[in-house]
Amino acid sequence: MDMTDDKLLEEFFMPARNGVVADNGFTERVMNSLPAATHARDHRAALFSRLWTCLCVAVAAVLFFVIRGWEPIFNVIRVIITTPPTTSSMLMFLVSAAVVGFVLLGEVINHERSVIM
Amino acid sequence: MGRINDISLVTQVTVFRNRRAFDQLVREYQSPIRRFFLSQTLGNEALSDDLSQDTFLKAYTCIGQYRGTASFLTWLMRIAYNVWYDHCRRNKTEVEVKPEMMKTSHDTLNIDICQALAQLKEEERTCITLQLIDGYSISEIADITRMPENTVKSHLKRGKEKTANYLRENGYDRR
Repeated sequence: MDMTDDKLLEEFFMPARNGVVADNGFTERVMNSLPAATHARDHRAALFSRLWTCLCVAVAAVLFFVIRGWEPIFNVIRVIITTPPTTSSMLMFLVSAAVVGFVLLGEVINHERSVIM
Repeated sequence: MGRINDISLVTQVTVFRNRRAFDQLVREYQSPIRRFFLSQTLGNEALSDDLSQDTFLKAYTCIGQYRGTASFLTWLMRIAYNVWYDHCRRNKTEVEVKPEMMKTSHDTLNIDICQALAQLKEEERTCITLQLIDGYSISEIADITRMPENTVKSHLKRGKEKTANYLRENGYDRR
């Protein structure tokens, strides 16, 4: 392969690269063939999913007040503010940040890989 | 269409099952997807449209899995490649190369291009069209086809050599 071949190929494929395939009713055909049954099922699944999320949030909120969840949070904040930073605490912070970063990155990669096509 | 607009439309389809939003996405991206299938099927319009329709149906049912890390078109191309791969595996034969089949009314893919693409193996054809017609980089082609980058490079090298030889033998370098 040399530069001349590259140029030859580029010029040869140019019409295809610049061309646009006219719709000619294609979009309408796709829209007419969308599965209605799946549509209804998806709606139901989404509704259940939202209800489940709401239930979990409500339970978490109730538990937060019942076990006085704000106390440990305030304690941690007070310790962080009043204690001068040390090498080990900074190290712990960096390690925690790295772990959280890796977990989030892994989550994104897993989602992409799990695409069933 | 911008990435943010795409994400907004995808969100409307995912959350509200808004068909009008999906209609906009199909209208916007039907051309590159159908052109991809036209290149793979060597201009067989009926088959290309069937496979394109299959691609959009799969996209609709799996749209919640689009995470926005790649462009929506790249995501669609990945589905299109899988649809094409499944089609080839199901039929277990290479696309038949008959000049009389390569009749296409599309200006985008003339008979010369179809005949040149017919000289290539399926993987070579896919890599060549994704790079030279659709303008994807090697890493993007590897992402779409799930092939290692070195494999993509090999297919591209062999495909380009074959196509360039074919073009020279048929006098395209003198036009």
